[in-house]
Amino acid sequence: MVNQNSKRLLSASGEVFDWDERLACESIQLDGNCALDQLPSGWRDAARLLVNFPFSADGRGFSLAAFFTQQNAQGQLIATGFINPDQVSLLFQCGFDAVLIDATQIESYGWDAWVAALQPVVNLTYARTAHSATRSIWALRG
Amino acid sequence: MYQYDDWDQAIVDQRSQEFRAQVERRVAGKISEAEFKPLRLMNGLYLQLHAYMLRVAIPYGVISSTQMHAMANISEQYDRGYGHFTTRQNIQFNWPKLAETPDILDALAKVQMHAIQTSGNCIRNITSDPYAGVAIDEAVDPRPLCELLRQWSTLHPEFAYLPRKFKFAVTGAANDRAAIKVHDIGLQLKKGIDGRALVDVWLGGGQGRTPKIAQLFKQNIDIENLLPYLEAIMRVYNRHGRRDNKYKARIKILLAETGLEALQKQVEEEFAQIDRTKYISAENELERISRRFITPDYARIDVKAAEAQLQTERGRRAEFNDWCASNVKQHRTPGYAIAVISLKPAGGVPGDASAAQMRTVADLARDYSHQEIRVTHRQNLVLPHVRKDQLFALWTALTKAELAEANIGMPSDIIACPGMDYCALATARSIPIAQSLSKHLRDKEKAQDLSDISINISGCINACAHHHVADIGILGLDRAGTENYQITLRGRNDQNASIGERMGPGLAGDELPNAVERVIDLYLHNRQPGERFSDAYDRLGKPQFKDAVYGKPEFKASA
Repeated sequence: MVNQNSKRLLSASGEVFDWDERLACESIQLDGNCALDQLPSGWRDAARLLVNFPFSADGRGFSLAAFFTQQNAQGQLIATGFINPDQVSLLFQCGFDAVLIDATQIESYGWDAWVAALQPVVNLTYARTAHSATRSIWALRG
Repeated sequence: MYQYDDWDQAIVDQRSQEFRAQVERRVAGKISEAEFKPLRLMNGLYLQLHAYMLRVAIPYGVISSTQMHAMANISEQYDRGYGHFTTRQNIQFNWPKLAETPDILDALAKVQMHAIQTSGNCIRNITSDPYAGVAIDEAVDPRPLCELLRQWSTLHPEFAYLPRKFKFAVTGAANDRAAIKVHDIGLQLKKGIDGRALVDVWLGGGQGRTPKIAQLFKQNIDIENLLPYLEAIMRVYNRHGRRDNKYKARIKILLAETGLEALQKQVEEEFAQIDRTKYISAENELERISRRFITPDYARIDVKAAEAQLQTERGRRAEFNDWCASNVKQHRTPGYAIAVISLKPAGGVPGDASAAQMRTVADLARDYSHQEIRVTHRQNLVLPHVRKDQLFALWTALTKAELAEANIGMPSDIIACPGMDYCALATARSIPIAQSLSKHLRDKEKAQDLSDISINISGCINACAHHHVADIGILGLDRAGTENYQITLRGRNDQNASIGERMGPGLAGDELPNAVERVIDLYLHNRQPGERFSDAYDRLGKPQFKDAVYGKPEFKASA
């Protein structure tokens, strides 16, 4: 059972975990709008990279995830902040391994919406994407 | 035209299903309008002055007879019996009910259409040359590349929350009929010395309150590298485009603030980092796409006999001859022609077509144009594959349907946005202005050779009707509660694109017909043989045209 009051981690593989705040201390935390030349040192080998979305319409974090994926960042890539269930699939496609949501977000959108986001209705796209439940039509066509 | 495979169909069906659930959540009050807004916008659903408006994508302006019939059916079943064709080759329905929009998307999906990304801060519908594939001046058919770009940009996860909307236009012809230099990215296809296609990338064009002509950003990029290169541009824009001020968020501002060389350097650095292995082979995919384009099975025509028949019919009927002169364009296949259907009757609403008219055009496309129709940037329709010896029969049918206005490229072929009659952003009406102007000018243009002069009317600074790049541009503004119209002259949207010059203070709506007529008279009486409006403007100078606009005593058209 997931504790109703905890933050929850929804993984790209479809699993749900309680978030242990101690993990945040072991993570590199940065904003999605962080410039590449201002990335904190050690990001390549960090166990976790927590990318905060300052508001839901700010798409810079998507490109930051693509950058980390391109650069083979070793740690778990986690999206947090102002994200909503309709963005979860896109976040995973861009390379996030998980999204971290808090009680306010769960209450605001309803837990069912977050669970549903792990099995997106639209599970196809054309572009080849990072690991996710979404399949690339270009890859499927071979 | 391109035929969906099962995957293309599946993604459209899924998207429709997803939107149905989103609308149900909204109707049930489970999400607020603020939360719903970005979701509906990504499916082309706006909330306008009086009602929702649904913008349906017509990718690169190509629509089949079957699809046009579906548009007519949708307009009758879910709207008020008409549709509005836009400058970006889409169609808009102005009165759908929110709860019925999922049914509309289902109806669209059944005919391989959708409304995906016709709005929102994402990559919008790809636009192109309405004569693509049949134009006499075309080096490379842009449609397969347009389809590749449509697929690449559709639901691209990284570019769904850009700083602002992003528009692509593509042409493969020497004469730019797609206005590529006033798009965020304009692609010019051409043939390299080995016969393979190359692309020039023009970047940073756009209109709105800060009009800019695109700059040549990258030359001669090969097709295989095009998608990674475009992705590099989009990534740099997504990271660095301004988000603090939506009026400064387009890539044209990023280009202006960063500088051409510096932005090129950033893109090249990003391009160098991109893992090319994750992309499909663009050349292979273009081949696959090309195979899914149904090439018209042109008839074997006695070209000389067809031409002779046409000339005889033109000689017999003056109205038909006029229509051929203005609405029929040269086709690359001997014995065939491109027929443009004007949606600009004098006093009509530019770009509007009733359900009956859409059905007529659909049937005529079936009978005379291999099932295919195009939508033009100037809000008209095109039958791209008409036998020359069938033009008279086509014109006769169009005449019966009141669709044979012979005014393509003439002053009454006006582009107008919906303006304050529909649009929540508008500051003035544009449709009534277009109606009064077309009525006022129609007789004059019939009597004179006025075949290449454009009038575009926007109802606000967002410039949806592209007034900045018209020979005569009109911008409607609100001045202390009164509609006021500024005139710009000498804009162009072709390969020599330029932003028009503002003449001065605005005029009242009822002053416009005479002001525009004086400008046209000045041009008419002073032009040299074959001289375009913009060239005459440059030769004669702004002061004379300004006098014409304001009807100053010293103004004389026949100076």
